[in-house]
Parts: sequence; C-alpha cells; structure tokens
Amino acid sequence: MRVEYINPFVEAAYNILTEVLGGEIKRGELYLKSTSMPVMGVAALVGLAGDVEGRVIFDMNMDSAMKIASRMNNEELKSFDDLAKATITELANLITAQAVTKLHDLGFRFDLTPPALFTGDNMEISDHEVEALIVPMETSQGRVEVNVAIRDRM
Amino acid sequence: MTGVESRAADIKEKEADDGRGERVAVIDYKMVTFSLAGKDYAIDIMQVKEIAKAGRFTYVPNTSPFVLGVYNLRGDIIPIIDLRIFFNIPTKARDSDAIENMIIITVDEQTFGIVVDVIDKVVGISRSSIQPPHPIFGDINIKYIHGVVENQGRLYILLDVERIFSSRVKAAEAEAVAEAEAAPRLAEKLAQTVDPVKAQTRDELDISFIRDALAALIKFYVTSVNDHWVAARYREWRDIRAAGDIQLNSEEDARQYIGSFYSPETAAFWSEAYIDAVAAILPANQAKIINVWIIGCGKGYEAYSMAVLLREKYPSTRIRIYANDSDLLAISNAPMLTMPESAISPKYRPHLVQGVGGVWTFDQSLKDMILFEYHDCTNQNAVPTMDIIMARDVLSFMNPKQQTAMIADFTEKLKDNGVVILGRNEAMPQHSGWLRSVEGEVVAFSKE
Amino acid sequence: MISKQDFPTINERAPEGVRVDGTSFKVLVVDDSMFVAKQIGQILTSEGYDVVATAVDGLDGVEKYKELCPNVDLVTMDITMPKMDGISALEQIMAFDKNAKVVMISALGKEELVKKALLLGAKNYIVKPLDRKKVLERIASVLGK
Repeated sequence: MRVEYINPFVEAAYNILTEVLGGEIKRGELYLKSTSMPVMGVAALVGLAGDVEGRVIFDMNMDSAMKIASRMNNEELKSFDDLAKATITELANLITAQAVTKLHDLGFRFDLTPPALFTGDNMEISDHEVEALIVPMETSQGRVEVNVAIRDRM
Repeated sequence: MTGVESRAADIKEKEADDGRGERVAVIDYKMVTFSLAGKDYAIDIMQVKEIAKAGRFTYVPNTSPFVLGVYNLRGDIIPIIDLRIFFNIPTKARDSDAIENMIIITVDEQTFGIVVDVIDKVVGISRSSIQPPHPIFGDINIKYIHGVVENQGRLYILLDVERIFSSRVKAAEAEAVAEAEAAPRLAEKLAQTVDPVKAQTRDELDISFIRDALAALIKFYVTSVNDHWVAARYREWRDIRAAGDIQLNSEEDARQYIGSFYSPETAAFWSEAYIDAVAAILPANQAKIINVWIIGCGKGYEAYSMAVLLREKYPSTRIRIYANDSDLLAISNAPMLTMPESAISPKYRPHLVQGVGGVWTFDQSLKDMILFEYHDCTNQNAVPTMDIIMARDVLSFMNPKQQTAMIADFTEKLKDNGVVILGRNEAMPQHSGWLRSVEGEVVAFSKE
Repeated sequence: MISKQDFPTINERAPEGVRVDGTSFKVLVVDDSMFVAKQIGQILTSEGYDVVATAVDGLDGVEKYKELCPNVDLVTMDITMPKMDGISALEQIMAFDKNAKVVMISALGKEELVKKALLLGAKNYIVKPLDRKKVLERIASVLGK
C-alpha cells in the first residue's frame, strides 16, 4: 500500500473512534496480511474508487459490535438489529470519509461507495488473495481492525 | 618372570595342587575384551549393554576433550568417550572419517559409549582368578583398574567402570547430553548419524551447523543463491576463530559471520562511480516507459539513486519506479527523504531543491517517478512487467520456499530484455535459465 | 419583593425548535442510515423541533417534500444515498420550491460535493460525526434566528 495513504487511515480511525466512543483508544502495531479476509465476525465494508481501487473493512467480533452500537446510541441494544447494523455501518462510513478527506488534501482523489455490512455466517468477500494493511485499534468496547486493501490504478 | 606372570603361575600351581586332577575354578564371570593403544582390556559383561559400530558422532561444542560427541542409540542421545584421551594415553589423532568400534556401557542407569580400537571377544573366567592391580600397570591410574586377569596367554586389565564413570566424567557427559538436547535440530542430525555409509567431514558438519544458526539467529537462509559465498566465508572464518570457537552461538556471532556479505552502497545514496557501473550494465532500451522494481528499498536511498541514474541515462523516457519494503518504519519517510548538503555531488545537484530550513529534497518530477509502497513481496505481487528488478541482499533473508517463489515471480514479471540485479554475493541458481554479466562491482542477470 | 422565583420562565432558554407563538418548526429528515436519522431526530426533538417525516433515499425525500409542502420548514439532506443522492434530490426540491431550506449532512468536509450543494441552493452543511451543539447552531441559523 502506498506509504502516503497509511497515515490518513490511521489518524481517521483514531480520531473518529475517540470522538464517538469517548473512552481511551489504543492503536496497535500496523502489519501486512497476505489475504484481506476479515476474521472476527462482523465486517463493515466501504468501497474505494477514483485514483485507486480497493476497499476498507472494519472487522470486529459480535460482542464488540454490540457494545460499540450501544455506546453510539447511548442505550443498551439487545440484539444486532437493523439499528445496530446501521450504527456500525455509519461508523465505517465516518472513518473512511475522514481518511478520504485527508487524502484529498494531499492531492489524491478517492471516492467512497456506499457501505455494506457482513456478519459471520455469510462472510464472502471476493478478493481473498489481495494484501491488506491492518491497523488494530483497541477500544473500551473491544478490538476493531481497520483492514485496508488499496491498489493504485496503473 | 614378571610379578604378574609369577602370580599366574602360582594360581596354576594352586589349582594343580588341589588336583586330584579336577578343575576347581568355575566360570562365574564373563567379560568383554578389547584393545586400546595396543593393550588388552576388559569390562564386566554385566555392565555392557551392547556393541556398536558407528560412522561418525555428532560433535558437540563446549565439552571436555575426552567426550568425542554424542550418538543416537535408537532414539537415546548418549555421550561417547574416548578413554585414551581420558587416560592421557598418547595416541595418533583419530581419522574422523573412520568407522569406530564402540562398547555401550550402562552404569548407575546412565548409558554411554566407549570408543575402542578393536573389540575382541567375550571371555569367561573364574572370579577367583582376578588379581588386584599392581602399580606396574602405569599407563592408567590404578584406581580405575578393578584387577588383572590372565586368560589363554593374554593378560587383560579389567576396568572399574564405576570408578571411571564417576563425577568427573558424569559431569562432562551431562554437559554433552544437555548441549545436544538443547538443540532440537541436532536430533535431526543424529538421526542421520545412524547411517554409517554417508560419512561427513568435520568441515561439512560445521558448515551445516552454521547454516542452521544463521537461519535461527538472524534469518539469513543459505541456499544455492548464496552458498558459494557462505562456503568461502567459512574457510576465512575457520582461520580467524580459535579451534573450539567456530560455531555461531549468539546473534553477534552470526552478524559477524555475515558482516562481509552485504553489497556496497547500501543504506546510502550511491556514489557516482556506482551509478556509472549500474548504468553501464543496463541494456539499451528504446521503450517509451521503463518500469523498475526495487525490493527492500528501506529508507529510499536506492530508489532515489536509481531515479537520478535513469533520468540521466534515459532522459526522454517515462520512468516508473515501484519501491517496496515490508518494514513500515523504514519506508514511511521515504517519500520525504532529504540529502545532506555535504553529500550532494554533481550528478545529484540538478535534481535537488532546497526547502524549508535549508533542507535539500528531490524535485517533484523526480519524486513523481517513485511509488513507495509498504508491501511484503512474499505476498502476491501486483506490479506490471519490469525492465529492471533490483533485489540486492533481499533473497538471502527470505526462507528457501520464499526465495524460490520470488525467483519465479522475477521470471514471470521480467521483460525478455530486462535485468535483475542481486546482491554482490548472491547469484541466480545455476542452470535455471539466467545469464550472468558483470560490470565492476555490479552483477546482473538476464533471461537466456 | 419580586424575585426570580416569581418569574421562573424568564431565565429559561426557550427551546430553539419552538416559535414565539408556541408552534414547532417542522423538519423533514432525509437519510439512508437508520442510525443517523435517529440521531438527528433525537437532537432536534430534544430542542422542540417537530420531525414530521423521515425519508430513506433522495427519491423518497423529494416525494415527501412535495407532499408535505408548505408544512415543512426545513430539510436535512444526507449526501450519499442509494437510488438518488442528496445532490440530485436537492436540485429537484429547489426546482419545486425555490424557497426550500435544505441543510446538507455530510461525512466529508470541504468536499467538492458540499460546495456543489451550496451552489445549488443548500443553505448550510453539517459534517458528521454529529455534534449536538453544531447541529442546533447551523439549523437555527438557517431558520433565520
């Protein structure tokens, strides 16, 4: 992944999570994964287009997803219902959008496609063998992995 | 007559004197006889587990000199002792290729092997015929002799194995076994020692230990890409290190060993001489776009040096440099690499601009030539076909499987008239379809 | 002696969503995210605004606006939506009613799209994540207070 793209995603994840969750956010060590499949159970995906092709996935387990959705709604949600799903989707949107805005300021033109939400049993994200950058974020509600797979359009 | 012989004669006479012609002595003691430095010895058969022949022992460093090494006895790792060294009997040096005779002994539930010259036979005697030791048998310390016994004209020195394998030897043995067991890879080697046919020289064994240590300690993998250098380096290393100190026991040792491996002009902007050498080895290229792949670009010195080189050599061609590294910390500042004023030479000057605080960076059009990516090249590579691939000192730090995959990738991604430049001490495997060309310090490979 | 206690309402801030005459401002919320719509709704309702309808995409938004007009004072319009995005919906609403008051809600700041929307007639924009104070300020300013 292009070096200049990395910081905007890291900063956006940190900023948004801090703002919407309120607690302490810790960023883990970044690393590269040979396959971009999400692994924890709940995945919110935002597509990227423009100067690049690719997508950002927000990967977390169900327990964290429920806690995050509850926190963002300021009420305890009892199940991963439409409201909870919409909440996690919106979180993905916010982080990606802020990253894209920063990249815009650096001169890179990215577009976002509307987000999609996947849960455990039907995880079928098509690009298995694409390398992904993983930015692990530890929140009071659990771990969220920002999983970015981007390729410059040749 | 010597003292011994007169004693033996006495015994015979005693028997004879008892004699109503009947033999009184009963065979109630059996011993295994063998020879060591020309003398006959024997050991109580009750202490002998078995007899074995072995091609070679696995040498274990850092143990006492009489411990020759360890041997894999059907899964048990046992120490092997050379009694001649233990007894300080002057002997010729052993030929390490030879097949040795061993007597495997068990004392106090400990098993070990003794190397001997020739194993003779099992002899049955009467316990009463064992005579106490006499100082005249000065070769070995008397305390290790249980007694002497005569049988069919030969005199055997009966060893007191329990005394011999007392604390001094036991400590040495424990050390040897601990050393051997601490290194699981040694166990694999031991499995090989059981086959006496494939004798290995001491050198080959040492090199193979060094190969393992390099991989384990600093992730440097010896394969046909670099083994010629590793072997040449071994000969040097053997000469500069003390005899017992050849093995690589620490990361520091390992780094010292490969200290001379690295290519010149690493982690620095290339000198004008090196730029000229690389430029000379590149083939003529009329293409409109030249693609360059730099693997393991680190902080970016190589990428910028190549950019300056290519701008000079192909002024009207569009250059695209794909620079990868899997070390995020190293590559993250590459897009903004600066050049200290003192390092600026004529080749570089035209491409530099001075920015905030008097710092010199490369001009935008040169920077635009380079795409720095945080990418692990052992994952799938999505680069287009390449005119030039720079992989200096990179393959050697990938495991053998990754090296093979990377070379296959090169074959696939390289244009027919393209070149691959490896490290100074690296080479494409022979007979694999690559032609080698040299220009000073620079070695390049192209497709046959 | 007359004291503050006699006139308890003097120092209370009047909810911004309520007019002097006691009627609430009517708001149409257009957003494809159930979460965002709920958030905006909660912020507005707590301040006395009356969220009269919610639309889930641009097309739905335009239709509902046409139905409700003139009983809608303000529209909050998300930019990225399926079927018809916020820019197109804005265009259509402005064509239908040149006095429509539309506030764009966007996850992207200083974006080309936001600029475009303002040029097309949107009165203001709010960047997500939503900050209650900012939301209320911007909406109040659009409603001319």
